[in-house]
Amino acid sequence: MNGAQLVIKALAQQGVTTCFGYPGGAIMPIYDAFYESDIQHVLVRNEQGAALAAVGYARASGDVGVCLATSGPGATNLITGLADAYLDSIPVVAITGQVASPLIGTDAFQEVDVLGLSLPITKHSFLVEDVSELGDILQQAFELARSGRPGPVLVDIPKDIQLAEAELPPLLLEEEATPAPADDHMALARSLLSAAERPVLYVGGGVALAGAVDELRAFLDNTHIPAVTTLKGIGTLPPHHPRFLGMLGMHGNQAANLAVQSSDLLIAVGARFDDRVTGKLDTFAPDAKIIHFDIDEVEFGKLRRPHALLHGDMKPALAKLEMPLEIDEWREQCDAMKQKYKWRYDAPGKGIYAPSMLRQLSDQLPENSVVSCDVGQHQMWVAQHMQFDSPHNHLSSGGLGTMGFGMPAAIGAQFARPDATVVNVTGDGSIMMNIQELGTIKRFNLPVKILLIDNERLGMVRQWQELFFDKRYSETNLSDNPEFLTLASAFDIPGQLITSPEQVPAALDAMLNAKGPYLLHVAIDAEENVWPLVPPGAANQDMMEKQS
Amino acid sequence: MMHTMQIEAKDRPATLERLLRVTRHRGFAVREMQMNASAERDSVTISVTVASDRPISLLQGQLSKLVDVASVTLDAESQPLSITA
Repeated sequence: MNGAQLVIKALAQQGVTTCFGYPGGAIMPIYDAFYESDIQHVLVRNEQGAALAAVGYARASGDVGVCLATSGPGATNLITGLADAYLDSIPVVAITGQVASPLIGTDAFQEVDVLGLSLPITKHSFLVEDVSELGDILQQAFELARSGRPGPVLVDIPKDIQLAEAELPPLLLEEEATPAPADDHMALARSLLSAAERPVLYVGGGVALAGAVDELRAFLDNTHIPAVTTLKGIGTLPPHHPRFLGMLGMHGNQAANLAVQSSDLLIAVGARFDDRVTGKLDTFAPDAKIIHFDIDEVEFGKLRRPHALLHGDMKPALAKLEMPLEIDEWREQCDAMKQKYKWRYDAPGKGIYAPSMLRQLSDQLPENSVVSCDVGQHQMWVAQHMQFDSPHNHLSSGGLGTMGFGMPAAIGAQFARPDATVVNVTGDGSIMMNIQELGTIKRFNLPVKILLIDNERLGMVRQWQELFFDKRYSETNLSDNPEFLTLASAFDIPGQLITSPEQVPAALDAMLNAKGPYLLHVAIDAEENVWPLVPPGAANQDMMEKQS
Repeated sequence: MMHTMQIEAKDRPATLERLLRVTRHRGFAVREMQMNASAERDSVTISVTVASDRPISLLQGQLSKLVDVASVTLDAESQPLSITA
């Protein structure tokens, strides 16, 4: 067995059934080993697609996503996808071929310092220097990717090591138990909660990563504390729960933001006080004490100092914090705000109102469908107006905000959950960022549905230009977009264009009932904005609302 | 404000780069540094003095998170994050 064959066996040992990649010179031995392997290799059309498909696979399944690329440009194309995984704490293992060891540092063909490039955008990275280390390194890579706060891990393997004689070490199953939060801080947290009059539960993506969705829902059911979620936390709380106030932050629901701003205790669970959540940091929840649950110690006090820090496994800890609370008055206040600020769909204008269409899509989707978004206005409309029962069903690039995320993430999700309906909601800017992945959809005849919301603009940037840059629309007009239906048909993907609200229900039906892939191209008004909005540098209670 | 830390880490090709990158990116400037590699223990010991307006505990935490780092100890005058209700 050579090193390349060892890589395939190590992937199988880790339970990997599908991986995403693109071959090239320095990784040819590994691709040669794939030739007779049972692991499904999905050929993408750009390595960025491979990394983002691995992210989509990981997010939809909860397992580690795997991507591969060759040295040089193959590896550099992975970088954005790995950065996306890093910012959103997604477990991914990336394997890159490297030029042969004696050539490293000689500016050889397709040589780039991948280890150096990986440092700021991976949880850890390895350059394999001796074939005897290869098996252990691959085991460590998977263990690191999924343990603690998950993240991407890169393994760079020089070609000579792929070709060297190798031996696969036995799989060591030494999973370290996650420690429980310290008793003294739990006692502190309990005393803070018992004294609180206006507590709010602030739920982030860390809950799903900790596998603690059920425990969090039980905590909510047993305490009935008003609750808000971050973009990455969407799906963690049941959307119809009476205490659920929606997403907070820049494009959050007013009720969610106002509840947080008025709270005297914020229970942050797997959330990190991101600037898109807090608005102007020193005005965020100004009267609130903080109980902070997290697996990653560096998050405590990074942006907001906690009064009780619950470091470790949140699953048993959440139940320990439960207690009867006399906060009926506060619950009623939050209920009233929820009622007052609930979404309205009575838009003026004759065109298709995207929020309303997305609400209809949400209602029409089969149970347990997956929606992946790109980045921009449509992404915020999905977060606001669609409802998700599981965090594994809402794939949205939160930390990095990667335009071009949606299509490869949908491809990854469709491989992870072949029986699920997978919809990529995208914009006319974002879709072009990884449009080449239509080739992957065609190659595997994946039944991915693409809902393209087209305003012929880079809509979110245009919105900010309108509001904050004196309507100076610099480089945001995309009225020269390609003919998207023709483009899709070149990949054997059928579809239709709709322009009026009456067409929406039947068009959504046609898309969802299509057996294979489908493009629903939806033309909307270029002037439509995402509301409400916390302007840059403002406090979250100072949201701008739509002028009607 | 200046702080001095003692760092114990595995001796790996990118160890020093990782430490310096995190230090810079998290808003700290290196003012003085000494490193010794120990072949027998496969480890390096680094003494580094950094300057920043940011709390040193933030850097200590980020450096401690690095996979190859075994420990980051602050010199006596550098205060860790204190939590009070």
